Amino acid sequence: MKRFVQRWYGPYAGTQVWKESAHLLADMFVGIALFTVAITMLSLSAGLLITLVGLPLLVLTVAMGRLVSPMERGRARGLLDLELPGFTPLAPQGNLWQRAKAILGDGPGWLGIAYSMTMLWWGTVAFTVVVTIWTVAFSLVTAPAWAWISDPPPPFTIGGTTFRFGGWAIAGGVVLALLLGLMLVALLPRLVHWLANVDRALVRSMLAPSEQEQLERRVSELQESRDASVESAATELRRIERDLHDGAQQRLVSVAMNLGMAKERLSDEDDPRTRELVTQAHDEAKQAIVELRDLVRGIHPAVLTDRGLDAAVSALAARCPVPVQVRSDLSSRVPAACESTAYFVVAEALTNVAKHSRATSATVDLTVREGVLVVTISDDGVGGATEAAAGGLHGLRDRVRAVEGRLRLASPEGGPTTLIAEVPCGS
Amino acid sequence: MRIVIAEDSVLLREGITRLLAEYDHEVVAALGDASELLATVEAHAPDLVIVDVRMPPTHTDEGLRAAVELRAVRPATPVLVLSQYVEERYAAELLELGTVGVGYLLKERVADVREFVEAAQRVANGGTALDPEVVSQLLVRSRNAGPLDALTPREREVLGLMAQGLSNAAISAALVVSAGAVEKHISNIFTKLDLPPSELEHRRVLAVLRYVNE
Repeated sequence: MKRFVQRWYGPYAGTQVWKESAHLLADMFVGIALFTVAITMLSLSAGLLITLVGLPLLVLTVAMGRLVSPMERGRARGLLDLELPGFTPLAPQGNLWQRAKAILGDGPGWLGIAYSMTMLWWGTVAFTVVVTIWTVAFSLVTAPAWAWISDPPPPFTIGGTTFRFGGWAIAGGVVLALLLGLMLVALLPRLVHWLANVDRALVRSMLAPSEQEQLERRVSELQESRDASVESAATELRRIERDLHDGAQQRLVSVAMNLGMAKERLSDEDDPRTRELVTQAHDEAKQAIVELRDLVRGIHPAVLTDRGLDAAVSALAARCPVPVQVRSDLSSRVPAACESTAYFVVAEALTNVAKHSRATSATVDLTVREGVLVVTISDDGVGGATEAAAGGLHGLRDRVRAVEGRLRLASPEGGPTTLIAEVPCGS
Repeated sequence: MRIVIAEDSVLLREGITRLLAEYDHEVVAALGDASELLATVEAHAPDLVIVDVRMPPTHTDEGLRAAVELRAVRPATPVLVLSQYVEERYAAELLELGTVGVGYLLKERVADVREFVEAAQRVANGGTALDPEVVSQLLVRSRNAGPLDALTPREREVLGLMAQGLSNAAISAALVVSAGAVEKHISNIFTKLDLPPSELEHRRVLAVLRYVNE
């Protein structure tokens, strides 16, 4: 019994049925208001279209059509618990005429107008139905009270027979009405909900971007945020590099210099133990400078920041024990994130060339083709390189993928090995 | 020597000043950036200018640009450029305006006090001082340039030392070979590179670098 009541009459304890009813009742008034404004604006524009005033008015009408979406989505959020994203804001570019054309061709604007038209008749229907079912339900369940307070109906005569409503007839009618009323009350939340679902469907289909548009927008948002984080990581690395150069390294050089001066002074004195210690400290300070320089180079080489990819790759080639030829047709700087990705691809590739390939020569080729930076590193070594064996290559692939690039490795047994990285650089 | 220094790090600026004073050289002006370099050199007419490549405001290569500008206006002023890292193009830009009294060293070379002062002295005297790393990068860059392919490894080594600004005697000491052998290598290099022999050290460097920069 309790479950039965809970199931059929429980909804009245909640807010949904009340809010949905309120929404449906308001539909008609909203519909009248929207329709009035829309039809007035439209017919005014149409009427004045032969004059100069008509067109701006039409543009204004469509622009106002866009306002329907935030308004009605707000109402749906409050009363229908329907959370929908808005359309992408329209940002018309160019001269006045181009902007006007953009607004006139704006789908969401026209959909707003269409919604206004639809809402008038649907709002009327919704209002009527909701008012009817609420009043009928109310009247039926309160039938005993009506029977109690009103006089019994007067007798009436059909075909010579006089009918008189007495105790049992009235009691039977009241019971029947009560039962029907209870049934209607039990069904009312569901009826209201179905009607409200029509509202939901209208708002969803006409006042919000489609699922595909939402996905597309999400993709482009993700892409933007990914690009931003890649770029900010690159900026951060450059900052660390600069801090190390300007801070720790300068200080170390200064320490080494002072130790060097101390060493020179001591050479004339006869304190071999001190001199030995100073010499050792001097050597270690110099070693620390070299190590720090290598570390900084591994983070983000200064030459890459200052002079770009071509110069940084030349420096890599110069340090490679295998003779490396560098060819580059980069005429201008590419974005920082591409530069550093390409740089580390070359660095890793040349390390592998030196370690595993047994090559006698290698080439590095830098070129930009249709907005894609193509880095090709090949050697004349023994080949047989795999991602697993070459270790660092796997990390490289992640690095390249983070900037939407591709990495391809061709290394048959017996050689030669070619590694190609393609990094979009948007220029 | 009377020296002008442009170096943005106070620590190193003062350190180098002290270091040079130790060897009886006088720093007549020490600048924190390159903007006043030309005017300062005009005013002091120093025997040597020491410039850091990376300086304010952009912290890229204003020191080098100031040095190149200085060499264009006063070609006779010896300039020693200090850099955080090797960049052969910096060296090339600097050397394009002549190799008399030019130096390009990694900053950390100041730690080797005596060698640094010797290099500074060499530049002031119209010689050349290129960092070994600069030289190796220059040579690598041109491995495929053609004429250098003809050199034997030993001759390449000699060429590298020549480019650093070392004299024949210093080269023979460095490679532990006789002075005669060094001379033979050098004449071979000149022949292979098709360069007429010259008695001036800097001419040799100039010639080498001209080839390298082609």
